[in-house]
Amino acid sequence: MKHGQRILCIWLPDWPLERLAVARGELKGRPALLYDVQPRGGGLRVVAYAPRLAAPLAGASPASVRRPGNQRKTSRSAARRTAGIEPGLPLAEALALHEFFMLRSRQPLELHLEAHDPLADRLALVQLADQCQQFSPTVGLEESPRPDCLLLDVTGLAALLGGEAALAGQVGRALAERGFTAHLAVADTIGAAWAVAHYLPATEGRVLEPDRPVHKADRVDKKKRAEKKNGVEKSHGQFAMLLVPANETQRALAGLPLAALRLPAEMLDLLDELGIECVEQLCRLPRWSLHARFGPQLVRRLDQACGAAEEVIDAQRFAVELAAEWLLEHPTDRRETIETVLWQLLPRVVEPLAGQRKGVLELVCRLECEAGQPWLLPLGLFRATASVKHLFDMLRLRLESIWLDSPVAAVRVAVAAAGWLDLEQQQLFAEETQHASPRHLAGLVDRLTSRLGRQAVLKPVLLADAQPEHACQFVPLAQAASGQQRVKKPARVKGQRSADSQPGRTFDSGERPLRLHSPPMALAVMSVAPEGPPLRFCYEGREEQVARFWGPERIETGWWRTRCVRRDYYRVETGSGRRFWLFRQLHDGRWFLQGTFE
Amino acid sequence: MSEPSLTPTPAEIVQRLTAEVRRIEGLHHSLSGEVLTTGCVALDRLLPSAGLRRGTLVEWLAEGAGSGAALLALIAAREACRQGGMLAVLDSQRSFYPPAAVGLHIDLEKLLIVRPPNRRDDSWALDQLLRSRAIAAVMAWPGDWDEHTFRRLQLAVEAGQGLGLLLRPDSIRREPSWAELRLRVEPLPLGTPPLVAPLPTMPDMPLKQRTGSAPTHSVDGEVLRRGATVPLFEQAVQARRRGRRWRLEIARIRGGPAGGSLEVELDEPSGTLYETRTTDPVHLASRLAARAPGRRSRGA
Repeated sequence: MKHGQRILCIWLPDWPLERLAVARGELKGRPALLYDVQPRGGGLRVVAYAPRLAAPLAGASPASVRRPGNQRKTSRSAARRTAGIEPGLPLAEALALHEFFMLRSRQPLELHLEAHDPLADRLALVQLADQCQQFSPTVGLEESPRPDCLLLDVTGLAALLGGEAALAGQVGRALAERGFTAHLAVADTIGAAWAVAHYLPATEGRVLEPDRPVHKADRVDKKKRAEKKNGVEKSHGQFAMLLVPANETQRALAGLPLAALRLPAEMLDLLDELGIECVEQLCRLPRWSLHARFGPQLVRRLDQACGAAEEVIDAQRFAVELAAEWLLEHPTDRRETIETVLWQLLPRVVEPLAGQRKGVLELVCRLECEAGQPWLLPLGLFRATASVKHLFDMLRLRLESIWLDSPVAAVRVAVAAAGWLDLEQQQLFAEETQHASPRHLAGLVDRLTSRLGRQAVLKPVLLADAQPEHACQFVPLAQAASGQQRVKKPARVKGQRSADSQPGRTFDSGERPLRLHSPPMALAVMSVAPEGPPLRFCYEGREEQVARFWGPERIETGWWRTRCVRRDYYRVETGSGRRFWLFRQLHDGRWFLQGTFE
Repeated sequence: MSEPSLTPTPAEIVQRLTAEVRRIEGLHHSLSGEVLTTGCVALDRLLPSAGLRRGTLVEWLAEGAGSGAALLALIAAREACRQGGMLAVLDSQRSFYPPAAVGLHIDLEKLLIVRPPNRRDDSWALDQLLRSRAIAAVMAWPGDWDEHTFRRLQLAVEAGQGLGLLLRPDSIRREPSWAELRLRVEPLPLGTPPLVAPLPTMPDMPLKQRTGSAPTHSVDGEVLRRGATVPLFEQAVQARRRGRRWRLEIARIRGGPAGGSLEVELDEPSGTLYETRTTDPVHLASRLAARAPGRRSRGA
């Protein structure tokens, strides 16, 4: 341990859900559940659940949230608030509990169900770490496959910001204002800071810091009450913090449970069976015995927490912002002038990247208008490029799509994301008609995306969902290529194979229509029996006689969405040879047109 | 030694006239283009260039929804992408359903779908797709565009050397075209349905139980139409037949005679197209009737 070292650990206990709430504002206030597919046939399990997303629970302090290693010891009040839905619960049970919970609720809300995306969580946490660089030059993520902790080296920084309490309070407030619940702890070692941040209430009252213990949650609540009174209600998170004085690490750790040492679950179970429950008990045992019985990991974690073994923060390396700005002496609305300025600015941001064999993946152009809001022209590229001309052409296409109602006073371009350049060897005898060149494709996608938008240039991905409307997802090609958006993980449903082994079911050429009506179109259909096939139907004002049909193909699915879908599908051929895809809704017998075999 | 005849043979005359027609229609620049199959050997044989040329537009005309013209165009697009390049679909109606393309063995990794946010951008997007070297085939449902737009698209596809497959309503068949080939697609019923008069008392039952046929011909779990009588085995097989038929007619082609037609059938499990070998009794009777005078004359 470095002499005088001080580490600030920020634990975000509700990270996946709060990250989702911040990213998708429309979900705030709704119940949400994240699940994932367990390997080796473990089925769908709950990762996180919130009865109301981004809404602080009434009377709940941040300290009452779950902690790793002691999920079994959830308090009764916490279980009541979350309807007993805990991480690891099978999805089917969780949904049943949620339904029951909603039945008792006065305002039943639609549950947002989504597959957990650990990669998106990690990327967002890296972004948050980037923003925390304003507090410390050394910011890193915890060592974990699914990190939800940030580690800041604050050695020697407290004096600059009025003490450690002020520093931690500043960090906590910044996170709360962004909508995140945070537990902060400052200690001598990474292990101790991590342990105290995760087990705040256990230490509260035992270790008293000289800088006055502060529990900011109440303060935030007061502020929120005041805002509510004034009619301004913002979505704040909460935070709590605790400072462990220098050289008081051992005393702070003594009463903590063993899970605070970041040990694997199997080892915790074994220690629990032996009656060892807290760190203090462990410290009393001889080291050679611990090493012999439990292996090196236990001793290493204990030493790291106590400061006897070295542990360093794996600091994130952030790119320096690349931006260039041009202030116009005389504001103008002439496009030619703005284009000339862009042509001058682009090399300033592209050339430094090209020197590192990097190119632009995302670029933001900001036009500051003399009056009114500035124009933001984001540019997402299919492939990293260092070509000024290509970027200029893309920006010109974007400029064509806007109408400048006020003269532009300043132009600013900034690189939002950069990537490695793909180097291609030039071909001496290149075939002129050669197709499938990545360079040509990148150029095309960039042109289309620049003018039509990302959501207009798509790549289809099949999902293992039996309901036709959900069997295919469209992903923006620019994002799919740059890996910034992962495809939603398909759910594994009854009667279908795992999404990992087969992304979607395939059909023969005539089994699915080329055009799908989503939502399906209601039809007037006549059938000979209540559950029989269609005989006649009316489409576009014309009566069609069914000459032949294939089916029924029964689809029963979607119970985990809003309502179970139960349909009998028929492929029908009319007397003129035209084909349609109809279905009968089993719960009410109504007929719908789902698609046409174009 | 006999001197060569100065009088041209009929075949030479036809060849010379065909070349003249092509010259007049300005086809000389595209004659060197690579020829792609339509996915149906019989249709290829019907076309003067024995297929579809790269760098050209092809129009598929059909009336109403559910005609299957897009399916035929998609098969041609699949063939065009075999040597590399992507398939692009300009889906302005936002209803294109990729699982149907997978059924035709089209790789979704090579499928690009473009959905312009408004109709004004449709022609621009199609122009860009046709002009790109990365795209081997483009499928689109063009709107009511003027001739200048179609001329622009023709130049774009020549520059990109892909294949432009345009799905259009049959009502425009009299209008001038910038496409090299205009095909009319008429869907045909697959055959006589095996259904007979309903018997309301007959319960639903799996086919193999009702026919007692060998398991190899049974359809496990499939239920026949409620109310149908017990079908004969042949009828049951006919009921399970999975295919689709069309009549294709060449409405217009540059450098060749229009009016040729043929009937094709799609084998749905394999996704292949072939010329229909008709076994329709009416057709057979008419064929026999047509041959009868010849036989009588030989016999006489």
